[in-house]
Amino acid sequence: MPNPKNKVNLSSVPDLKNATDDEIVQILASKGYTQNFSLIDVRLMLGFASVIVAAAAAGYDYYVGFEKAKPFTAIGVSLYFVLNLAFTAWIMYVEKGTFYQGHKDGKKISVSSSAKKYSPIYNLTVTETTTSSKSSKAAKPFNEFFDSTGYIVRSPLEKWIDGLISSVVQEDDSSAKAKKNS
Amino acid sequence: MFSTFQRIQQYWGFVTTVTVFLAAAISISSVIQEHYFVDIPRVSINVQSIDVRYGKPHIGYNYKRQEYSLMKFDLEADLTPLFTWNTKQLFVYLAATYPGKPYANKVVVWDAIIRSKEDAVLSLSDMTADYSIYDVTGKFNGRNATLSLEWNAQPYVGLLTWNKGSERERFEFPQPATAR
Amino acid sequence: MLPQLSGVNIRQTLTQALSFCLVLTTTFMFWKGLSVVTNSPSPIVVVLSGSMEPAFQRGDILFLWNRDVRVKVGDIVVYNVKGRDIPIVHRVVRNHASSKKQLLLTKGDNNAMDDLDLYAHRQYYLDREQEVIGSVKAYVPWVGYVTILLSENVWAKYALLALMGFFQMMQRE
Repeated sequence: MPNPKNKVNLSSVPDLKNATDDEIVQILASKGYTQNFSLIDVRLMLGFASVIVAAAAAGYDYYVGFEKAKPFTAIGVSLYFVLNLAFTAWIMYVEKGTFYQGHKDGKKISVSSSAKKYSPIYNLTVTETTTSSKSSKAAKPFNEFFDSTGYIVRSPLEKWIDGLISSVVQEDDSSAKAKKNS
Repeated sequence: MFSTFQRIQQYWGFVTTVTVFLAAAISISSVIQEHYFVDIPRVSINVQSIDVRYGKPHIGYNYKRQEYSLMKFDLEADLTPLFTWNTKQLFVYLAATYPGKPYANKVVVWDAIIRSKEDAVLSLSDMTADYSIYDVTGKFNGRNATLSLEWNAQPYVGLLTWNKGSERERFEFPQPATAR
Repeated sequence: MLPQLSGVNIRQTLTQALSFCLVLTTTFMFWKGLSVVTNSPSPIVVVLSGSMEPAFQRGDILFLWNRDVRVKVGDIVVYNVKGRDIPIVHRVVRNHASSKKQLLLTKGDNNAMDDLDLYAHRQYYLDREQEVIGSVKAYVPWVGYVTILLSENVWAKYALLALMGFFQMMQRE
């Protein structure tokens, strides 16, 4: 949800994960990163393309009747399921949990997360994508950045992501400093 | 599981899945049983009398003046093996098949709904047919016909099946008793 | 920072709208796919009357198949008489078939008389090609009763749609 100060149901892992993802996006924005929306844009395009195909098939069937529309309906149904398959494949094999891509000072990073359905652990991966793909993984239980009433607490989360970023992004002057947290 | 609604949804989803699989298993098992393990019952059909009259058929809404049949028949059949654990009812019907110039014809002359194994032994003698036969052309012209017993097994859940006895009874439509 | 944040917001709203649309369209396209495969404009029907009792009761669900060029005596067909909107599920009791055309007479198992008074004025037979939309192949009891409630009570329908939409908007993933 847009409002970062939404109360989250602490028993719902998907809700916790989504709230954490959203908060990290805001943290990165506040640090001066510019977000690149290409992944989510492709996903939205695939999704809405299939919705448009379904709407067109429905409309044509409604206006000319079942018998006349049959061949077009068959094409529409096949196209819809192909697009849907592409949509699912995009989420599963291309995005793979990536919810943020962005850059700052010529350095590109990509951030992905995952959480198992009934396990309160948030898995976070930060990958440096400018040249190579050096990545750093870590996992923490949600209670390290949620208070007991269900509000997210920014500072521990910010410290965590800072550490992960500095471990993969080579600062021009001091590369030694970045190694301490990985 | 984090809210009552979610719990209900989860349980409901589980119950639905289990029910669907159970229903499919029941249906498949009974179809397999019918197809491979039940011998088609032996049937005996005998036409006692067949008359053709000219006028408005007594039964049905067809009020055209035309030739129509009146039939009496005997029927013996033991359909108890057709009842599997998934059989809700049998719809049994006696059908007359006869040829024609543009149209080949098949007409139900008698039917019955059998709802339990106990009622599945048919032993009818000198039974009056429920329905008259009448032709698209309005005339029979002494054509030959055959009678056969067929049935549709209606399941509690799943696939409907149709089958028929192999015995055929032949008869000929006589000339109408009352000429116009 | 502001335009960037609104970029996030637009995409989040679109993502939620998309997941709602996908639920509706997937259901719809499954239905359309089934209707193409079975060649029937309405491959699943809910029984609305008791004229086929005890075989079918109100609220039972029937699965149709319409790829056989000729239907048989004893088949249970669903037909739409031209000019009358209500589909009827009855058994075929007469069949007169030529190579070009098939004429049928139907009757409800539970009705004493045949269907001639349900047909159009002066129509003595059903036309298989023009009027039959499928024959019954499979049966599931009771499940369709919800749709009877929904179709006979307009407000129940709107309430269900609103509720579905509401829950879909509330949850992500």
